[in-house]
Amino acid sequence: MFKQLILLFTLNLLGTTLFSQESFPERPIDIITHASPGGGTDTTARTMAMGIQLTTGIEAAVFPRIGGGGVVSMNYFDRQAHDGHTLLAITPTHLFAIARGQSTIQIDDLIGIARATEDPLVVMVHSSSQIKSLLDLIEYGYSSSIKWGTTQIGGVDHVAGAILAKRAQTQLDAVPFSGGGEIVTNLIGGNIDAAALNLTEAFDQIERGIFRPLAVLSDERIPFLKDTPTAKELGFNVVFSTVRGYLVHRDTPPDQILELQNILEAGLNSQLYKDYLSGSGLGPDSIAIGQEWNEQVHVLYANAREAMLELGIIDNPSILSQYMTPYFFPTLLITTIFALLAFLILFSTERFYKLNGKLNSKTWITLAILFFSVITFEFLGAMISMMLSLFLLQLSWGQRKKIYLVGISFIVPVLIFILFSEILNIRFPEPLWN
Amino acid sequence: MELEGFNYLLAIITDPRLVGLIFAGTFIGVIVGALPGLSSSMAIALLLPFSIYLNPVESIALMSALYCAGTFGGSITAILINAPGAPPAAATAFDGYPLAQKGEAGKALGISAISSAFGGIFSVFILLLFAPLLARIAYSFGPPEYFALGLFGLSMLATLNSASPIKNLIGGMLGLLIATIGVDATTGIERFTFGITELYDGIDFIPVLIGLFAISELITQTLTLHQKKIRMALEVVKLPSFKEFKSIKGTIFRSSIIGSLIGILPAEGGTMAAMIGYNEAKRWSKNPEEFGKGAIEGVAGPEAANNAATGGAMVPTLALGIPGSATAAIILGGLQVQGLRPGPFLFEEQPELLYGIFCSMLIANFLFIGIGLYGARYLSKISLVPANILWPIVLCLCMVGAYGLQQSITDVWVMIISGIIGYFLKNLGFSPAPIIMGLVLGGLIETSLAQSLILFEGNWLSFLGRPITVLFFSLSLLSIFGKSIIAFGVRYAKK
Repeated sequence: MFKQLILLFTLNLLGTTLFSQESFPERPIDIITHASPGGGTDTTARTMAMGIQLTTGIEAAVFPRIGGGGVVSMNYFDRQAHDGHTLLAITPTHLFAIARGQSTIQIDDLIGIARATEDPLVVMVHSSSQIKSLLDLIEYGYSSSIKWGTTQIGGVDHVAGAILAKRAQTQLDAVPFSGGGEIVTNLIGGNIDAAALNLTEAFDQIERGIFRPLAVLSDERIPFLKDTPTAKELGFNVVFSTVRGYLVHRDTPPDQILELQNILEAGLNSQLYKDYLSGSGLGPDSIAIGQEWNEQVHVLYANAREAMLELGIIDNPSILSQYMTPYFFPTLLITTIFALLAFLILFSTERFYKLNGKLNSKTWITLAILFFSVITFEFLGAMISMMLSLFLLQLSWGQRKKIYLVGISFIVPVLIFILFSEILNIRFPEPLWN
Repeated sequence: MELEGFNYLLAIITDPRLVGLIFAGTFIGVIVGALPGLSSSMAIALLLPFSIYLNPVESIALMSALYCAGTFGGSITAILINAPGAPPAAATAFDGYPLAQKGEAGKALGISAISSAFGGIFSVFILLLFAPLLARIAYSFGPPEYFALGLFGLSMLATLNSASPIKNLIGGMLGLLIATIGVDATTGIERFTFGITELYDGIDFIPVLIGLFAISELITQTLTLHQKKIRMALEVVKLPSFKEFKSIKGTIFRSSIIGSLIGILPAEGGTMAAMIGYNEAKRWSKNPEEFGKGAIEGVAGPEAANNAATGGAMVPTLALGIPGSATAAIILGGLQVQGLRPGPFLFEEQPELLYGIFCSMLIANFLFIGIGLYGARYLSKISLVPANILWPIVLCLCMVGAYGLQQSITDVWVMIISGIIGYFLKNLGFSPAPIIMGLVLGGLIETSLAQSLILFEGNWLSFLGRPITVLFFSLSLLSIFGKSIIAFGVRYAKK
């Protein structure tokens, strides 16, 4: 019986090593995103992953690496093996970051696999506004600066507005908000004059006649807004859209790039993904596979770089607000804190700098264990780190019963691991030697 | 219309599959809400791809039940181990944990369950009756109004707890200062990031919260380890009496209104509602000196408010298609996966979705009274677990909670360091509450001030030209100086 098992195991092992060359992918495909769960990028990636699984049976997992306007996700992607099992999800924000040299990745390191969505930017105003066309808007800017809502400074809608203003030689003040929803509210509320919103963000408002679309920032007119000219037609070559697509590293073997294209194509053409697209107000032409997308990435990058050079924000990503400098608020706070502290020292009767509780040896040991647990969390992996800190903390806090010491140190991390890692699919650090 | 609504309600509560899903959503919601670092928005995002196996009404029922229950779930860990499971529960820890320390965990959990459910149910009715009317509020709130609201929030620092007002102010300023770390929203300049890419988007609120509350409490525990705590199990699991409920009905009602109104403002969620709910509970209380030491009103105030904010957040979501909170945004995203285009049209054309949300939120709120009260008997026993077993486990939960949020080790460092700083600050007589308030309001105040100044082209006086702004400015002044004015008036009248 035992021998049979060993035989079976060896055969199995042999099998995987022999056939692994032919069966790509060997393990689930990771899609590295930069956005927190629930946002557009995340939902798009998750829906596609589900579509891939339903149509091909291949597992794909969304793996968020949040922060730095996409830089964290790109640098993480750069550190992974370039064996086709890791895809990078990108948006125009990523291209701007690469253009500024913020990431370890260069544009030529990347090869486009597939585009999942393309959402054109549309310049719009409130329908009660006196501004009837893009030219009206530009003219409005001659006398008083256009209040232009954007999602973030240096984001695609901001760059679009800035480059339009620069080429039309009109004045524009970017008012940054934290998302499309806020811009919609403020445009309705009359706090801002205009904004370049994604079509999907303002679909309902356009349909109901609350917003007036002035110009589409795409190459050609779009079916939904047949009567709205492109900025290009009006003489301003400003082409920007919010795209979401997937890339691999240039060093990925060519067969696997082809295979990945097929896998993603299957996922994006699944009924599930198509339903999602129509729910977002987008058409099937949002999807582009292989060369078409790869070329677009490079065109978009070139445009982004050109725009940033023109605006002078390649080296200096900032656009200074003339009304409030970035250090105004922190300086105000620090000054107030010191003034209050001085007041406390001079006029307070109690000696506030004296600790109320006495630190004992256990406190110091606990502090040491806290630091120890974070360091080991990164290097020895979450599981071992949790076991060690549970054991040490119990021991130093006077737990002498061996059954608790060992039992809890073992059971709790395993339970936590099952819940977070297995059920919720959150990946924890693994030991460095893995 | 009413009859139609009743029919939908009947269809929902007689559909066993739907009720089963609502129950599952409520149950999962309580669990993920209770665990620090896991939030209902995250759970809903992870459920999105699986929701395709459900029809739109079922999927939206599951998600909205999860949303409601998650907000309540956060209070469980806030009360038992001083680790708020979700940011809206931060204010619940101010008095919930002291109650548990006094050996009255069951009472605190019971109060939380009832107040949460009342707040939730209240807001669902508000949603049903006044959604189209109230949704307009969202439009009248531009950057200047948010700035004034933020200042009103800050003005509560002066009255927040019984510690010295100057220390409260310093704590609040410190919180505001931490909130300025990362890229400045209006200029795109990096501030105080010291070259760490992970700090580019700023310090996340949740690790700081877990650190300031749970980790600093863990360190505090080392000072009392040698003391044997003897608690009667019977006392701990005791639920609040009917008389106690009667004594807090005013607080619950007031907080439900506050929560519903604040929830309606897009981008202002349950956390701010809970903070204001807590503060108003204290302001109107007969024994404000009890706050921070285990006042039951201090649990009821924030809990009723943050659950009322869930219904409030659904108002602009359903009436305008503009999500009233992060979770509401994801619920809308869930409809997109189903191939439906969220927006005001959708809910006019497919009222069964609207009633699906309404009914499942209602049922979820009733369900977690049951789960809460029944569970309180067992959960409250956690406060009987010896410190040298409980707190090491809490440490593990906090670590995975802080890490799991963005899967970043920087967050774990942020949590541990803010825990240690929090411990020393607490030891010096600074309470964590003002720091949390500053942190919550920091981004809002600075960004909306900068936005307003761009809109006003640098003219500060323009703030006074907007009625809602002026209203909040006056409320702030009243909140700071109100007591002295009343005291002066009383003295004058006595003469």
